[in-house]
Amino acid sequence: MSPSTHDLPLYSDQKPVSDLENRVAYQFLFPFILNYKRMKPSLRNGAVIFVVAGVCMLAAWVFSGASPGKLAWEPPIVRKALMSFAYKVYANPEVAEGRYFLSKAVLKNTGAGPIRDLAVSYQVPDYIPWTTPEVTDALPAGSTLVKVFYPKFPDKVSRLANQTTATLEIKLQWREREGGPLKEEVLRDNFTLFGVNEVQFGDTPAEDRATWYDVYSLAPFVVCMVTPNDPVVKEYAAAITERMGGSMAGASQKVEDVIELMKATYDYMVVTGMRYAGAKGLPETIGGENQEVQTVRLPRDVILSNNGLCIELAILWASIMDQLGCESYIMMVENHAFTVVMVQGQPVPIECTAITPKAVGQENPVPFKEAYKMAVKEFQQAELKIPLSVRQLQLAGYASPELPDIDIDKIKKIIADRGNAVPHRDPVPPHPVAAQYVHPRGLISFDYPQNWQMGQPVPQIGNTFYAGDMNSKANVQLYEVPNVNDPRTAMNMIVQAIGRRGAQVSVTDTQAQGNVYFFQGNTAGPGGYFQWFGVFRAVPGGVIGITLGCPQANFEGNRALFNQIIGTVHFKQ
Amino acid sequence: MNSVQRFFFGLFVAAGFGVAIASVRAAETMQFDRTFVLDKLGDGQVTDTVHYSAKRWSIWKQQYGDRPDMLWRDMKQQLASMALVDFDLKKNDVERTMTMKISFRGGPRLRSDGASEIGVPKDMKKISDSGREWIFSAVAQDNSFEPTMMNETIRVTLPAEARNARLEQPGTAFQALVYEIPEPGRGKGMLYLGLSALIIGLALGAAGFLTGKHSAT
Repeated sequence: MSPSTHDLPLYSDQKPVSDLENRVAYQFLFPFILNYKRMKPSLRNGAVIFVVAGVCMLAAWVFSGASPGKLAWEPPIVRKALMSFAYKVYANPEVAEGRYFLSKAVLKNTGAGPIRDLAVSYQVPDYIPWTTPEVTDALPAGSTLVKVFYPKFPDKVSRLANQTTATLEIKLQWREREGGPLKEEVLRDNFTLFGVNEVQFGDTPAEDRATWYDVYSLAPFVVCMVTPNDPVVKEYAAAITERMGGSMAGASQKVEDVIELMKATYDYMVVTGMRYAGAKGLPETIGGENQEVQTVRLPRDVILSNNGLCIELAILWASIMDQLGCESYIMMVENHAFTVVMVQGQPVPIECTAITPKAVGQENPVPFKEAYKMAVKEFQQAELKIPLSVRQLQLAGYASPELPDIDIDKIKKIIADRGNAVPHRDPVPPHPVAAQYVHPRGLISFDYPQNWQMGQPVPQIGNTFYAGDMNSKANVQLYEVPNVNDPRTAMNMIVQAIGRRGAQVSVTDTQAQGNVYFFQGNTAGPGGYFQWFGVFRAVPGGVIGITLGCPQANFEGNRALFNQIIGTVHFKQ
Repeated sequence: MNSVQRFFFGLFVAAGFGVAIASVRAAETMQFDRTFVLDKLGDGQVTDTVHYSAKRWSIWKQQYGDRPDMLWRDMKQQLASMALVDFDLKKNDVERTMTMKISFRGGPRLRSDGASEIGVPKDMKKISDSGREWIFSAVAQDNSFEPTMMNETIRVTLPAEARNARLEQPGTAFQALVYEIPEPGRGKGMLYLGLSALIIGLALGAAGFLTGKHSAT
């Protein structure tokens, strides 16, 4: 007999079924419920397999992430020498695009996993303690980390009298995997700290040098020695302006004011006995193939000793001019240096060493005007030159060092004592006016300095004669405008003709005295900015006249000469 | 200051600003273009193209154009914040144009928060950005004995993996292009599979063992 359907046991074994089992079985596991009892061993086996597989996969995941990183590096680049007076430059990564670093370390992760907690710090024993480590939490595999060091040396480094050896120590700390042991390495190298008066003009290796500029690759550092705010320089500048009854040059920025200030400075140096200190009485070599490091004193030392080399005098001049509000440049040319003051876009150079006549090949005292002319000549003739703008470079970070305190009352007394010297007089007479021009038809004649050289006239603008000083560019020009009888019309025609050749002429003043017309004006062109005045008159066949001019910067200095020449002009009646 | 800034200012020397020789004071204008391409490791290549005036071309050739070794040496000093590994220079005398390519490693600065940072000079203005490509522009002026205007354009192409690129502190001295690269390493697939297998195994175990124990009691 077969059992009825409702008597069939739910499970293959005959154990009674609980209510819970029934609820679960019917409500959730219905598709499997009939075979539950039979599946139990399989479930247990499956559970073991899944658990083991899961644990294995989790272990694989954990260990796959633990591949170690590996830190590799080459020996760090370390600058061979630092100039101690320029210690602020080396501390500033903004200067010259950060090129003046002390050291550079390139670290690379050559491992398969990231490097953790990579910390880099450095010290310079006796000068800089260990710096706060710069930490990189994770350096991915294959990545490169570059560390560049700009050490902040203390002020005391600028008191080093002589060069000394210092040591840079770089500490690296890192973990090759997260939570792994901390590794550490300290890298060391030596470098030279020059004394405060030692200037290194270039660091281009000798075998890499091809031009003069390569020798002077560090020339901008010279500007660090310009110390306009040094109390000693301030006192010296004050003595100069006091002697000239005050100066408005810095505020007005007028050419005549600046030239007056420069003349007063030059004269003050002469009067107070400032001397050029070159051993041979000639400008000394600065830098050069065999002289990469030169001793250069700071302006305060030059003032106190009352003598200096060309580069030292140029630095002193720049310091004074800057202190008095004038923009100055130190002009480095081959084997020499001098100062240029920039006013209204015009450079006014000065041969600083001319305070000692023998330095410039003279026997008698050299007046300011001649010192200016010498510098103009050097400026124009030098093919190789490096203009160092004090203002621009110091703004760019070429900062002066902090100087030790000094007994300023003592300085004042020294300067005051020197100021009691006899005032200097300009011993040089005006230019001799000896050469004479006579028009072929006798329409005009005039005298001009015999040392002026004839130049090529430009007939297209009515210019038929030219003579001038090749150095100062002061010149006299003859103009002839045919078929007109009014000098003003003639001048307009000349202005237009010059304009067509690319220069801009402005006539600023016109005055008539009878038939003679006097004009003043200026001309801006490729050759610079010139100021001039002229005298014109109608003559048979047209208008004729001359102009006398020169670069605006030295126009006032030439005015007396120009007046002399004007006084010699004769027109045909 | 780091990579882009150094590149930017480095131009002045590369362009011959370092030395003023002639005395003509009329302002000249130069054009400078730079592309800066980065990969996810911070390595990459920079390409400079500079068009010079006739006079600048003459100066530049004297200083660098005929002496690429000196230019390479100079660039390594200027671009101190990176490890430069390769250099190529091409000149076009007819167009007075030079093209310089430099490969580098370790360009952006790795910040402690994991982000990568490229300093952008304060005077550089953002022209556009399209997520990966950022364009900046500026006009620089040199006021020394050789007044010169320079129009500059810099294009920065970030790695494809870069996320959340942004310009931080724009217009300040701390202006910087910042982005993040997701940390590579363990894939999550194995983790999820393992966890799933474990859960299933535990569930099966519960069904196979716990129910039996319950019923046994």
